[in-house]
Amino acid sequence: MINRYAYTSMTGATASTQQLAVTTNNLANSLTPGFREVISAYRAVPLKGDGVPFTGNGADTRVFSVETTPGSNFTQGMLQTTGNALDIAIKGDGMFTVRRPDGQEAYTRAGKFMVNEQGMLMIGKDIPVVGSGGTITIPIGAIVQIAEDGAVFTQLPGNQFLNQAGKLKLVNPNSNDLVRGADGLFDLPGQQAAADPAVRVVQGAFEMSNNNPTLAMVQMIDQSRLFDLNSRSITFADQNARSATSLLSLTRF
Amino acid sequence: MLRSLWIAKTGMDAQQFNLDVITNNLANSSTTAFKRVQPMFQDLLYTTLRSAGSASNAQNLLPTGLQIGAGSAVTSTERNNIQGGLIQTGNQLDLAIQGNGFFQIQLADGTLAYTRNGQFSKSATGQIVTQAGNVVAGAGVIPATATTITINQAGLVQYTLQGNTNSIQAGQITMANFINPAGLQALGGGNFIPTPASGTAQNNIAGSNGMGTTNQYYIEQSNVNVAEELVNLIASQRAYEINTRAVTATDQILQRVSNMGG
Repeated sequence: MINRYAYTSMTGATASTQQLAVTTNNLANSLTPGFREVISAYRAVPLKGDGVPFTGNGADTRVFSVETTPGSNFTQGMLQTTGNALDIAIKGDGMFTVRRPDGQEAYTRAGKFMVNEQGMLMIGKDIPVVGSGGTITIPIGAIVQIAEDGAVFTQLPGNQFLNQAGKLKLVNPNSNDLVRGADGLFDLPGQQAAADPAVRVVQGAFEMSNNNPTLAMVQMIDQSRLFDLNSRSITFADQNARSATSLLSLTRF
Repeated sequence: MLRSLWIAKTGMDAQQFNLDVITNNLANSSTTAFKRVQPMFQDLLYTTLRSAGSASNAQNLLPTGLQIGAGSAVTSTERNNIQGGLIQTGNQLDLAIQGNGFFQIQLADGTLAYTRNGQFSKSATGQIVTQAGNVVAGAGVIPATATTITINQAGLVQYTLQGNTNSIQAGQITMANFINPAGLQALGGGNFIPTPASGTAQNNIAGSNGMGTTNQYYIEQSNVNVAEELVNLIASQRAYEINTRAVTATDQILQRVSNMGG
């Protein structure tokens, strides 16, 4: 029978392939606006039965490895200046508030807005941007000006008056409390973030992904080697088992 | 098979599409009234393999979970309707829109389309038509004997006859705008048709109600910024390459797996 350490190595090899998937996802999103890098880490899981650590028989040497994603990297990404009136970037900390189709608020740093057929400010199909008084509607043909504090003004050409169409709901929740939803937007489980008047935005630019390709390349090398080492251990376990089997095989006698 | 192989593929797909869009923009950097297109990227769905706070056994909760994203995708292409530069041509049937709005033209099958390309000509019957021969709505008929044609900033078309200083009105060019011009569907040839996303056409006289003005003797240049497109091209190419490295890393792991039994 193959030695138990083959299974311990197997968890290391599995965890390294899962971490490679996380790193690859970060890489695949290196041009996604406002994307926040997923942080990955290995976690040690000692062998336990009914909550009690096993003892004896070398059980305390069998510490398995699992891959975890403890959170996201919220450092600021580069700003790309486009001159588009509907590209908005947050300077420093803070998030935009948007509303999912199920009515729940979600938070994002992706500031590439668009208007839908009703003139409503959206970040994607079915996901309107939330203002302090609900959604924000831009009149047809209007020039949009967004102030540093997120106030949205519209001006019709030939008209010198600015009308305030609304104010972006800018929030600044503790980044440790934010959880990434399945759609990539962030949630604040069990509560809604309050608007923070200190958050500042800049119009005509959007924030790019904050992933670090150099780190990702190093991580990929690390993951490949970790997989190699673990698979080698499994091969050793296999060879040992073969030797043991041939030692005990009847044909030798 | 390993997830990372497919995730890297989504990244490569998205960058391939990005390259397609960038090259189309570059190819149209001299097309009259062309509006550059930008792809919009989004992260795909995240799979939660273990959620944080779930029970690892009867006593303990997992401090952190495991969430793996499925990669990235292009969700839409967005047309950037920033005004292109105006250049003077001296041609009396060249019109450029300064500001919002589109010229309304009639396609061969009778349906209406919209364009910002104002390089017009006269047809054999004296109608003002686009380069493709589509009639510009409202522009009227200019007789062969007309000496000068004047189109004012409000789109009013007038002409004079030889030996006569009085201007005769030929027509009024119809202009249209949309709530969401980025939602128009491009037909090629600089023509667009409305979609449910763009809203219906709202006709107005040029220069009024937020509509731009028509400028005779000018055409609108493409709004493609070649330097910006080239930088995007480099970024996209490198992002593609790095994703291929993830494929290589996964491939090496799979090779090792297949050799493990030996």
